[in-house]
Amino acid sequence: MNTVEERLHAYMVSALAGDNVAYRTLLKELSVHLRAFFRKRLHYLSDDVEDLVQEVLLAIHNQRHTYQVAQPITAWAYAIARYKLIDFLRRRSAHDVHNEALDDVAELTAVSDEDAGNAKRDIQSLLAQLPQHYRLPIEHVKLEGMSIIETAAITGMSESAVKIGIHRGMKKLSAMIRGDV
Amino acid sequence: MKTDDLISFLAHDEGVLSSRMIARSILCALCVGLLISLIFLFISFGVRVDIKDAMLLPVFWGKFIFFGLCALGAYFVAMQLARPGARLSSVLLGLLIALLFAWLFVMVSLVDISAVQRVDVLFSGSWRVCTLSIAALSLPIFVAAMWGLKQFAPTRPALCGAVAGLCAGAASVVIYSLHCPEMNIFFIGVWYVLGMCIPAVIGACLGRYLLRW
Repeated sequence: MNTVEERLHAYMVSALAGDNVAYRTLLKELSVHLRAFFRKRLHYLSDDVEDLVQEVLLAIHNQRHTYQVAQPITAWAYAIARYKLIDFLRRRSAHDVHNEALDDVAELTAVSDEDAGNAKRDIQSLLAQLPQHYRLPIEHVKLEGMSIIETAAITGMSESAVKIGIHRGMKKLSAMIRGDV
Repeated sequence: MKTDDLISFLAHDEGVLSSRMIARSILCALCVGLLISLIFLFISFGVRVDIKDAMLLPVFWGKFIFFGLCALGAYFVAMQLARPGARLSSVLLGLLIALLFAWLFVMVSLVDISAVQRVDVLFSGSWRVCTLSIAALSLPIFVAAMWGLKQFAPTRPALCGAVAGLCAGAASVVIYSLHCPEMNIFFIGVWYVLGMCIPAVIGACLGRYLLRW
């Protein structure tokens, strides 16, 4: 029986070599761990758990070049999750200072639905706000599943511009989630 | 968007940027920063007139080696801090601690100079100029270092910013040494080191904002 670390490490190594199936399995399994991790720490903010899970998955995707194969992947993912959790709590406390809780009574009786898969924030609508030279490559390649070459032909951008557009666009999405843009 | 949809969205992979290529572009940026500082030194300060004679003295090289090692050590530590979950290598920490001890040893060994003499040495001539010039010369390197770290993901941004600032400050001292005729070890140990620490403190304060990701 493989340990979690060994299994995830094998997925990550294949993913970095371009295996999308392994990558999907990796993200899927990480999302389960992340959900448990955040739920344990944010029990009074359970509505935000899924948002945070998605934010970290996006961060893991954007920062996967910072992973070194010799390093334990659980330590790497944990460091990212911890950083994003702290960032979230900071953001939240700054927000609370300026927004007094007017919905105290409602909050008391509000039922938080346990549907694990649903976030409050919609990444697709954030995507729609990106400038075109980021949005088009992301939509064609990542939503419609076209290749880089096809996307380059359709949009009239060069192949490297498509790749860079995706990379920067994804980082921009992450910044929009943080509220930086 | 459901998390499963997000995962499918992310897993439509567009190819990973190579880590080595990014590391190389960071190194390039740092070289550009160093070059700008160097050009700035040539234009506005000039190389010390007696450089040929100075090159025969051990203190001249001592400055280079000490601050050069500081810059290199800080560079490698910052690069490690920029990767989530990476352990700091014990070799690097050993180097930084050794440098700290070398500095302490020299400072303490000079304490037996009589108090009056020390004050004279310390406040003789160019202390304010030296400290501020080192801080100013570090600016292009500092900017390059911060840009570079933004390509990665420092999970302790204040610490990472401080170390990057230290790297810029130490590199700036190396460049400034080409100009400054000051050779007193005690003077260097106080004012050069202070100049080197200014960008480090700035990096620590700004790191949280500049290096957010």
